[in-house]
Amino acid sequence: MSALWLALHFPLLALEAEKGPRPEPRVLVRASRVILANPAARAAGVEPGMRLGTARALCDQLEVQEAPAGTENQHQQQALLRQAHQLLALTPQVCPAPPATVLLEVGGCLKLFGGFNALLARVDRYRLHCPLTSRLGIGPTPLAAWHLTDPPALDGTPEASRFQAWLAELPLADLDLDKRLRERLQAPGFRTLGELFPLPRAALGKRFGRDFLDWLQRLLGEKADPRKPIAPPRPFRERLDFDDPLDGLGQLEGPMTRLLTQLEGRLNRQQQSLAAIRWHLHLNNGHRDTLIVRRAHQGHDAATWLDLSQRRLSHHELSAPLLGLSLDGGRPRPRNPGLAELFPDPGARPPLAGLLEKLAGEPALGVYRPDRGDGHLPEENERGRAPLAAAPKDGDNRDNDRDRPLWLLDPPRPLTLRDQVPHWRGRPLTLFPQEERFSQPWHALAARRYRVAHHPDGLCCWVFQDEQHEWWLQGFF
Amino acid sequence: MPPMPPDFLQPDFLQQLLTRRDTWWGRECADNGQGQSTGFPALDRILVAGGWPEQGLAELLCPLPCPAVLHLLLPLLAGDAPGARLIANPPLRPSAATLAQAGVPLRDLLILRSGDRGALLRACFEAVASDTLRLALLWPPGGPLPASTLRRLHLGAQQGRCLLILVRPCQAGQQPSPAPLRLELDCPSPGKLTVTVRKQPGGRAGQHCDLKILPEHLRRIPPSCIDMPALTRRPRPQPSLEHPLLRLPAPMTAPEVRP
Repeated sequence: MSALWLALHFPLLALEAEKGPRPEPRVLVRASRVILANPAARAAGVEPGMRLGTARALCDQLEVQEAPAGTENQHQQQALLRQAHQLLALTPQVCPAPPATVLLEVGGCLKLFGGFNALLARVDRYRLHCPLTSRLGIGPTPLAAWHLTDPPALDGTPEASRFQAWLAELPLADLDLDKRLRERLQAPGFRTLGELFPLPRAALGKRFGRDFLDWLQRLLGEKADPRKPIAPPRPFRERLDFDDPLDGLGQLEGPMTRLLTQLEGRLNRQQQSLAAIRWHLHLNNGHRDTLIVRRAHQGHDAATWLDLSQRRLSHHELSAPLLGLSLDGGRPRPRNPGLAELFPDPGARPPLAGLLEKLAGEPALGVYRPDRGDGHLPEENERGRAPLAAAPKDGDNRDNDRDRPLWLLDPPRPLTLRDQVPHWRGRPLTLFPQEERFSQPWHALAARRYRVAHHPDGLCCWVFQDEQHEWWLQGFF
Repeated sequence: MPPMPPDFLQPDFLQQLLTRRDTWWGRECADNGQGQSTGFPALDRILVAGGWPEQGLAELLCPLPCPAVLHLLLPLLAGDAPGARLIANPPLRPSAATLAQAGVPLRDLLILRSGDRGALLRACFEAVASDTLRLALLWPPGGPLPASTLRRLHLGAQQGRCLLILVRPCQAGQQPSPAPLRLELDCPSPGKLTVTVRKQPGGRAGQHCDLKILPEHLRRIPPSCIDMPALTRRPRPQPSLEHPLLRLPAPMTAPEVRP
């Protein structure tokens, strides 16, 4: 596996960073001099280096953008970083090289994408959908890729000798070097980079400086050129603002789909998934409503998130018109897909998690999964797990020899006492003589004395007598 | 008798009647002899399918609350067949410990409660039609339950391969229902259940059987301790000396030693 680098230059990034490419002529100006002009302005004859007055005379509808004081502005950096994150879909080795270039190491990904041509087709597709004007460079080292832009139509990975030949043809005047160094290089009569190759390296270093020799060796691959790839991006947080405030929640499907598609793309690129997302509804009265949508297991598909979000939203009422919608992706986790079955059972049922997610999102429903608790009293020995919590464990059947009712009353209901006989629904209970004692916690007075009782309606009840000798109904067998 | 439509004998009308989805065909009904066993052989014998149907709607009519219903369905809830189980709107809280003791897998059990009637029925329909559940028990909330709702639930359960069992009061037995199987339950005495078939596909109605759903010691009241003979009056058991280990060796005289 030999290293192969791609360089994506965004030459008009400073102009297009904020609003993307425009068909109108547009220039970037610093100190009344044109620095950058877009193709429409160039077609009208505007060239970088021109005075602003000349440019205005050449082109009537010229839009002028003032360059910020620093060498690069914040918008430009953000736009470059956004492109770098997009390019993580191709390779994990994405190195932004400011001011307007992204370098990619793709030698390790050729097999994944099905060869060099398929990879280039992907890059072309990316450039087609990229909102910025871009130029592609290719080479065996980062610096070579930087310089060898607009490669001819290639059929397979070019050999090292071919790259060497291309580099040799590079004019010294076009190199990305300091202007004075270029003049010093051209002074002895050198025109192309190839004329420097046969010269002894030590002499080159002595004459043109150690930095130039270092640069040349990195360009030719004689010296390592380590680049630091970008770190994984921060959590997904995107906001959409509406031009007109929305009155109803029914119109939110489109914006939600847009945000979720972005989220899905991001998660797929980074092989991550999410267990919960947050929607923030920015209202006209300054308030912000937050809706949390959870899933039983981590997921990344936009369709399920949209379905769950709409279910959650159908129970929400807006107190004011809606100005904006934002999606907070929370903390993504690395995706860990389980082993898929090679031959899935055709009659297999879908897992319970999908149904739980839907039911848990309905506020009108109380869903729980019954589980045994650690309490001592019968009503404390039961607990309901939240639907999206971990599933209760099977096994460990305690108290196998005891008779326990199938139905429990929580809390127990008082029984009326007539002639020393407890009554339920106006009819007397027939008590079993055997008694079982449940000692209470330390702060209570006496133990509960449990008995089984028969009711004339054909019920088998579980009743107890507390310390005040009052009878309570605890459950039915 | 309602007036017969004039075109009753027209082949078109008959064809229309036969293509209705809620018309039962006798031969089809006789074919589905494969049901899941109820766990009670007496009940299996009176059901033509040999047990509960695999999917669709079934109704149990009983005087509410009827705690014995869950005992009748415990064998169905237990078992390791794939698919989850749902208990919707139960009148009381089913005890998880007792269910686990009976073999019900708690990881596949879900309990649903709601005070909102519409939301509950919608959620039940969605759950049974989702193909996730194997069995759903529903105590329908109060209020009328029109035939269209029942029909929708039946179709949803068939679509989702789920057996949906409705527990309804006895008065509902007088109303027609699209449920293919209707059983009437009665508790004559604690621990006993009488099941009467009111309607079943491909079989006769009116058969009944008696089931014992509780163990013997809970069905009968044991005699009170007061009525038992006091322990002091019992004849004291004689210590038996039959066992050789308990028998002491006979005292032996030591042999006289003479010088």
